[in-house]
Amino acid sequence: MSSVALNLGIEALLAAQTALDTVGHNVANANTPGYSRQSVLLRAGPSMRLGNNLVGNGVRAMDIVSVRDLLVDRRILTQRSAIARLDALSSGLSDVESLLGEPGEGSLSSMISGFFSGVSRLSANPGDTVLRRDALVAGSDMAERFRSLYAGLETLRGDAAARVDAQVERVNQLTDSIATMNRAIGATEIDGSTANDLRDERDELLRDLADVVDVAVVEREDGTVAVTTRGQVLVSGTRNFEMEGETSIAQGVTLRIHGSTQELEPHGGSLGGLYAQVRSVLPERLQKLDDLARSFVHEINKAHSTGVPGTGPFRSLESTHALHDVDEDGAYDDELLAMAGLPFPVQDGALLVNMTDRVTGAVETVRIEIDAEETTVGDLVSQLNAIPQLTAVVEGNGQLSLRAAEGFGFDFAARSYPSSGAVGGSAVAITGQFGGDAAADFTFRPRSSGDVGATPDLLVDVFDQNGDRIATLDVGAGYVPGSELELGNGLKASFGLGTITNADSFELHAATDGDTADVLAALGLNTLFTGTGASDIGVSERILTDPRLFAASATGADGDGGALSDILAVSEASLEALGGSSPIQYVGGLVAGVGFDRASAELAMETEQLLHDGLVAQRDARSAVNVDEELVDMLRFQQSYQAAAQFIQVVNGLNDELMRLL
Amino acid sequence: MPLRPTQAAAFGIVQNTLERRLADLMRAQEQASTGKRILRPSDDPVGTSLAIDLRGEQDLIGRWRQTAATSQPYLDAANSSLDASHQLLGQIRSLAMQALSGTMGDTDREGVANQIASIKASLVDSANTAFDGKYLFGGTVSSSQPFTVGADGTVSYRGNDQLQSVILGLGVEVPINVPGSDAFMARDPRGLSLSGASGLAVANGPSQGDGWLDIEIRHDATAGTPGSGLVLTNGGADDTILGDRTLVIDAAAQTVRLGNGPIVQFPDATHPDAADFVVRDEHGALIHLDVTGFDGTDSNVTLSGSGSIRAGSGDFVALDLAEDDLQLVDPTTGAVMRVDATGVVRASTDVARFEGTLDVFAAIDGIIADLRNDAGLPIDEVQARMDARLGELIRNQDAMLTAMGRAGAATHRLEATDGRLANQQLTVAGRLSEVEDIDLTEAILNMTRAQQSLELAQMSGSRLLETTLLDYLR
Repeated sequence: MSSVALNLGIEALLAAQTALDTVGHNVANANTPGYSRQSVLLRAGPSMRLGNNLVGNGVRAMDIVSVRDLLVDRRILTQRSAIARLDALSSGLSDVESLLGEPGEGSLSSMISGFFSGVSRLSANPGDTVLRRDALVAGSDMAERFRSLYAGLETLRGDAAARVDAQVERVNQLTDSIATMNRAIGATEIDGSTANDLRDERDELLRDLADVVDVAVVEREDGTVAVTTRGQVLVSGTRNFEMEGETSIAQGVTLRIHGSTQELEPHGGSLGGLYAQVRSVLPERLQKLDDLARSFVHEINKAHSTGVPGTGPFRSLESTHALHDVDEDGAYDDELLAMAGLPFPVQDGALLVNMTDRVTGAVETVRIEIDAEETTVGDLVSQLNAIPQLTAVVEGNGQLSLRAAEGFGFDFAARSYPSSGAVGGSAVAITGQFGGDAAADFTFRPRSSGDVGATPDLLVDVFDQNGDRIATLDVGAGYVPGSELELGNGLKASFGLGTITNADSFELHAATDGDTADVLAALGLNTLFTGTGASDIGVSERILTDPRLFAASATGADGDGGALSDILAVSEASLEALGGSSPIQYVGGLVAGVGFDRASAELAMETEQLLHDGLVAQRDARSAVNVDEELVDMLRFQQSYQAAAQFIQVVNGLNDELMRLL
Repeated sequence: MPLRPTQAAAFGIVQNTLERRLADLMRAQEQASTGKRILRPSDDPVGTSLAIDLRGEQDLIGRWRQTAATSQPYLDAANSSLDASHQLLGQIRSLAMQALSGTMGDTDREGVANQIASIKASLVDSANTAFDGKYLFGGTVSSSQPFTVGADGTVSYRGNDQLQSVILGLGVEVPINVPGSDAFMARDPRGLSLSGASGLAVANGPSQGDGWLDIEIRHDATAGTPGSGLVLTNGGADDTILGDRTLVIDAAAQTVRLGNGPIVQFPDATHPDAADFVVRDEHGALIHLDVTGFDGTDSNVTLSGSGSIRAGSGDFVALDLAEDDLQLVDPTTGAVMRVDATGVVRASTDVARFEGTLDVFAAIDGIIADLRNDAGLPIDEVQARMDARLGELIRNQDAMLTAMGRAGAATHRLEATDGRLANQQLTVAGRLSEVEDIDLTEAILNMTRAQQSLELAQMSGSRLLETTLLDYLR
């Protein structure tokens, strides 16, 4: 019996010892990240039959278990991925925000305003060289801002791509460690015990991994975990599969698991956030900035190209955008103009070319019809060449070069033409600047026959291209030959002495835009801005060096600011290419978009953080160490130990008593 | 599951709370110190977008105001220069009127002419006013002098008739110039009129041309022989009669009468004038008679003058006095005149005036020429011409007034627009401040609140963390 009792006492001592050790371990790890508190599983020993009685046989420390909730642990992993992703995204967007510098001085929107202000000031005195230079410098500053913003965004994208590479490296380290832990745990637990601390360590590694990339974790029966991300395996048993990143200019970065052909698109973790930056957030902003610059260049150039520079009509001009020999047969002539590799579209319309005789000042206007689906480069060149005193050549490098004969100059301004002609025997002169909304063709038709200024009720009807009568001019008795009669829309006509008959007619063409086909902007002839997007926008070097070449005039007169009005109109225009908003509004949208994304990322991060904190609290409530609790346990097991020792002493005393009897 | 608090959780909570409170305080401090509510777009994306729009609007309004301010001096300069020009015209008018009054002698008139000529030079200067390197009255031709004075003193216009406008609002375009063609070269063609002694009249047919030009009607020959032994001096070469006239000689009274002209006594054969005695008819047309061969008889014969006509620098054509619709063309100016020759009675240099086509400088040149009267025209003809010139001058002066009115209206529009824009700018600035700026009281309150929250968290946190069972275990 004594041996039984002693044995029982020792068991109790050992159990209390184990429990105290566990308490010590818990207290020691109270602040170890990821540590799950452990507790000793005590069980009463198997009882023995002594006569009719079943006598208890002490206590056994059966097992040390760690207290954990697997479900909560997995949910924490998901939350951490979400938070890390939002954090990476938000810090990336914050970089974009500071780069944009809106709202504030020196921002893109204020630079755009600055350019228009310069142009507007110039409109008060279009001939002034200082004001011209001011406007051009403002344009140049704006272009510089476009370029530096674009370059800044590209740098951010490059940085993010480099950080993706670093994160891929981190994923591979972590998955390697997890695979190693899997092996250790498997080896330890082969005897059925639980490797609590190794598991804690592996859990910590999994949490680190979740910070980098979103993972799904499944625990196998052998104690190992399988880790997958977006359905692709990262760790299986004791093996890990390396993630590989590939950087390219077009895509930024592409990811895949070694040996897999499928592209990997991480959605969570810092990798997910960076990946989103490289693949969508930054490219979207780059695209928007580029769209803005592109339509800006196009719209301003359309307005500028039909203007006349301060130096008067051109003697020669070269296109800045080269034509491309698309079918590679060595000739440009057979290329369709609209598909000759020009950066901006050519559409159906007409191009006006005005030839000015520099000596007499006489102007002859020729209209070249452009059909986007039919007109070839050759057609355009030959029609240009058909204009007297003008030579057009496509150079070997694809540049179109125009040259006027000595003593002549050309421009592309919208004019009403011809400025003089005849109805029968009466000379007609047209004066004034056409102010209509759209191009119009007018036909003068006398209603009856007679002598100008003499025949009573001699009327001339003026019809527009739709056959509507827009004016009736009385040139009969009482009309003073040579005096001006209103045609409407700013045009006036005067008739000279002579006889007209109702069979006579006179055609007058009035235009509001010298290039409705946008050929000039596409070719880059007489354009203000060079480049085709945010990365290469700039003010034409030619004009910047000689501000007089700024084509401010719509008529050729050096004090006219018609082209400036057209440029200013762009500032408030709803541009089709920008979704119907004005340039400034578009910048507002772009900036607000970044702000929205960041604000919503931060808000989401706060929400996710709250959820995460809740889950952590839940986990802590179950698994974390409460030192006070452990102290109480310590007292308890200390007392058990003391009691067990006392018990052994008592049993020992009993044995001594017995021995003395012998 | 019952709540089981742990030290780690307590530390975590205290730490989190402290971090958040500190972040709040920093944000409140940043807002209070910058005075801005939006420091980065993510603070308030909607507000940011609105702020950018409002700033754009503010820039736009600022741009318009600046353009108005830049334009104003040009208009002011044009206005004062037009005002000066108008006054110069007034001086010319009063000088011409004085000269017209008829009490002046030739030398006085010459003096007035010189005075007017110098005023004209000032007027040309005024019309060529440039402000800040920009000629104000050239239409949209602004870098070269719009009015140039030729070798013969005539002024020609090199500008155009176009308006230069600035944009001062959506769809608001204000012209900021007055073309010289309107201010100094106003035209109001009203057809042809003739003045002169010949009796030439304007025909029904239409005429076309500019300014004033001479129509010269020349006497070529006188047909017929005076009776009573008288003969035409030099064969009638110096006569001016055109058409038929009766010449009645009354021998008893020794008088002669041409047409319905005055009856005049002719001198004796011995008189020094006897070889060249001038007789006029009621129109002032004259014949030269040699009376030395007077035979003492009465006579009544008909003399007939024939002549030719030309306009400006054209060739003389024989004048058919029955032609009531004669077309004359001046090859230099291309002017076409239709005249009625049926009333022509004498040779003369008449003036064809295309009413309402004379610019201010040509009118002044004309007045000067009239005053100098190099052609030696009779005073009443000079006065008639000057009347006509003054008419043109007054018309030009009126046109100048109209131009000044337009410049004044443009100035007024600039000022009114600027005032309106200034109000608008204030409104936009207010709205922008509402969006971007922080209410300072609120900012300071927020900051104080954040500070208190942080202190509270620190205090309560330290209390929570310092409790442990160990304090009571012995």
